[in-house]
Amino acid sequence: MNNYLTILKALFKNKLRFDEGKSKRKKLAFALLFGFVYVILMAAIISVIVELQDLFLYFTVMSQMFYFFVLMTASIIVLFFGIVHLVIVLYLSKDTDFYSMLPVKPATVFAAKLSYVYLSETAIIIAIALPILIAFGIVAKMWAWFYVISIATLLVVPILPLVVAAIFAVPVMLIASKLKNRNIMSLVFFLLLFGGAFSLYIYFIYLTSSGSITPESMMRVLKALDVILDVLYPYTVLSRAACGIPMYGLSLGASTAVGVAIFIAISAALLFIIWLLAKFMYAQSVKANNQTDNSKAKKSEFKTTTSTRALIKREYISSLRTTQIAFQCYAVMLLPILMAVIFGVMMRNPSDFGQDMQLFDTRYIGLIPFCTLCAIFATLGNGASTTFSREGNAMASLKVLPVNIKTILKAKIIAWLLPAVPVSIVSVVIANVMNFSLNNMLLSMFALVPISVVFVIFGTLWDLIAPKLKWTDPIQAVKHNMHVLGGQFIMIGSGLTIMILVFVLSAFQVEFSVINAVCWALLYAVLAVFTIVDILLYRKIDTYYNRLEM
Amino acid sequence: MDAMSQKIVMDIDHVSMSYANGTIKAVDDLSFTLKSGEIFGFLGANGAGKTTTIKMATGILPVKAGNIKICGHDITHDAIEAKRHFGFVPDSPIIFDKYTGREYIDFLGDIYGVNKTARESITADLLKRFSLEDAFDKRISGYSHGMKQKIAIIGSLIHSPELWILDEPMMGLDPPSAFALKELMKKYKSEGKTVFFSTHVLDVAEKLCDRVAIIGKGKLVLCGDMDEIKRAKGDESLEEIFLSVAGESNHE
Repeated sequence: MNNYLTILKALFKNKLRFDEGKSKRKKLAFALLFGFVYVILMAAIISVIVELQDLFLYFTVMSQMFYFFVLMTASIIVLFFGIVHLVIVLYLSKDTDFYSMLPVKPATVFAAKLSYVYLSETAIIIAIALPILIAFGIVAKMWAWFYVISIATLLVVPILPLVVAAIFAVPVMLIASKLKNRNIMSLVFFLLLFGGAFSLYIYFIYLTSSGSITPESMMRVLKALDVILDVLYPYTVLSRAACGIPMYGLSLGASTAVGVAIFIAISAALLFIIWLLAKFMYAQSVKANNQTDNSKAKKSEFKTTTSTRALIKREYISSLRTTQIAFQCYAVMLLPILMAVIFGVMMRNPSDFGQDMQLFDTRYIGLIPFCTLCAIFATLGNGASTTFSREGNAMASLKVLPVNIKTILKAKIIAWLLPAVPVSIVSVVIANVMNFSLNNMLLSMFALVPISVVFVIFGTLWDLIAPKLKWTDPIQAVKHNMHVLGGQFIMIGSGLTIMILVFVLSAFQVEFSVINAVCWALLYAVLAVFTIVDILLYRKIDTYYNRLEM
Repeated sequence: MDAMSQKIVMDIDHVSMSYANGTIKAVDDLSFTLKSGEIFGFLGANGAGKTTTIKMATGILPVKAGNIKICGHDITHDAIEAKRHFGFVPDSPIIFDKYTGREYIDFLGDIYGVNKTARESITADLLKRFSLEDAFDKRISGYSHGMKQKIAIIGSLIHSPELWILDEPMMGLDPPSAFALKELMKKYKSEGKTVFFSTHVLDVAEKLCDRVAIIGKGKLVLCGDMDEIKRAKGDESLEEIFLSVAGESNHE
């Protein structure tokens, strides 16, 4: 038990500890910035909940649906981030050798690692979902048991997505272990899995928000989902239990007890399954680490190109050949497209909805996808905003070369604009197609696509100011890089602030034409500010580059 | 090569570098020159300032006081031209390990503008010398420390630089490779080019170097022709000379 706790503590310490030498002021500044973004994000979501209060009070089924939606979203988040976490910690981990030589049973190491993944995911879910559920409980005037059930629920919610992740990961690992490049194989797997998961998710959103959203049709959809979900995982049962809706012809108390019991029993069964699967994954990792590559390499040929192209190619090679980096830099670029689809479907023109929904003036909702895209475009800059940090000690090798910072910067910016710009165009088009208006199409195309460009440039320059060059694992340059997060928070914060303002103005029943004008004016202001900041930073690139010391 | 026809390939002129707001002097008013066609050994105890000096000379660290010129080009004000004239092998072979050996050489070839034929001919000879042919198309991340050192050496010579700078080059090399490296240094010198390397291995320096500089606590304590120094010090071995001057420097 001692060893288990020691290893678990070490895993968390390694993850959470700030960089050595970071001043208390910087730590405090980061904590404040992080807290600010968190509050803004929660404020945006809670304002939506408050906005929908009448809906929750008017239709009980909508409360149940919302609860169900929160649980599903939490599961998607765990699936999205947890799967990477699970595979990286258990299978692709670089510390396997280290733990293998310690006088600790492999089962203890494995148990600590699995607990680490589970606790990390649960903490994230609680941080995101708990305030939302509490706000929802107050707004929808839920009974007292709602809060007790919700807290217990959030503790077990991560289990299902982790089981799904492990089920998908095991066959992929088996194939990957037979291949030369198991990292790339894992990346392809992640992309396929996320593509599939999000397709299902979007289909679900489409079903729940498609044209005829009368309570009767909603009930039909829910009943159809019940059949599947009651068997697979009783989110629906739990949603009803939490919302105080009786089931199985039982009294409310008995029905709630049965619902919660089913949920916990199935969670325990799934926990056992994930234990077995994860144990297998860890064993595979130990096995893979003990293998050595004695294969003969295929002979290649020299290829010549220009120095800028060589630097661009180098950017791709260095980012694509490490799974975690590739995932952090490229896979997340799909998020704007996915968000455009999700928000496009969810925030469709209110005239498409049923008569009951027309009680509310919801035209402003059509602006939300654009604010969301502005915020989520921060993910397009993941690669660019870590481009110098990822160099680490190799920065010294780069500084020795006869290329100036302008060429290096040009290559890095081009390398990251090449995937970012098409993604931003596609997302903007999707967001518009779902709810077409020529004005919005033109306004968004000329605001959001350039925003993605200036943000990629901003990310690169921002990283050059203070890159994190001291790390032992390149993923630290991306995931534990507070400076980079600061830059991204500015972008996310901008989009969310505009979104909140739209909600606030609509709550005060301001004319839609005014809300529309304010929203677009602010999006263009974001573009203008980032452009100016880019120009100012670019003027100092020589200073920033020269002061980098290795 | 007579002294008159030798041109200056590196000129370190009153260079200083300090850390911790000037309280720690890593390099203190250092001056010496390197001429073409010589092997120059840069000696000093751990923390004497060798690597800091080399990092400044190669443009990794900024030169905050004094000047460093490579083949007449100032490393601060004319950095790109200066960098074209040297090849550098760092003490720890930090190279782009996601590349294969060939991709790494290709990258450097593109940066220095070396054509395909030259890449092939230069690499073929060096790969053979260092027995790295079989690993050349494999990822550098799978190389041993010594193999990484070898590919760094090959990469540093792909553009046939006039000045070859090596920081502790013997570290991690197996005996045949260390021998191959020494032979390569001699060949380089015979072509009228310059080799500048730091080392702890005094035997190697004694056998290989035409001139040496010894630094202690960032200051130059001795610099000159190998034979002249030995004669002036009563034909002591380089090790004895080093210990005596390094000891004096430490007592200051």
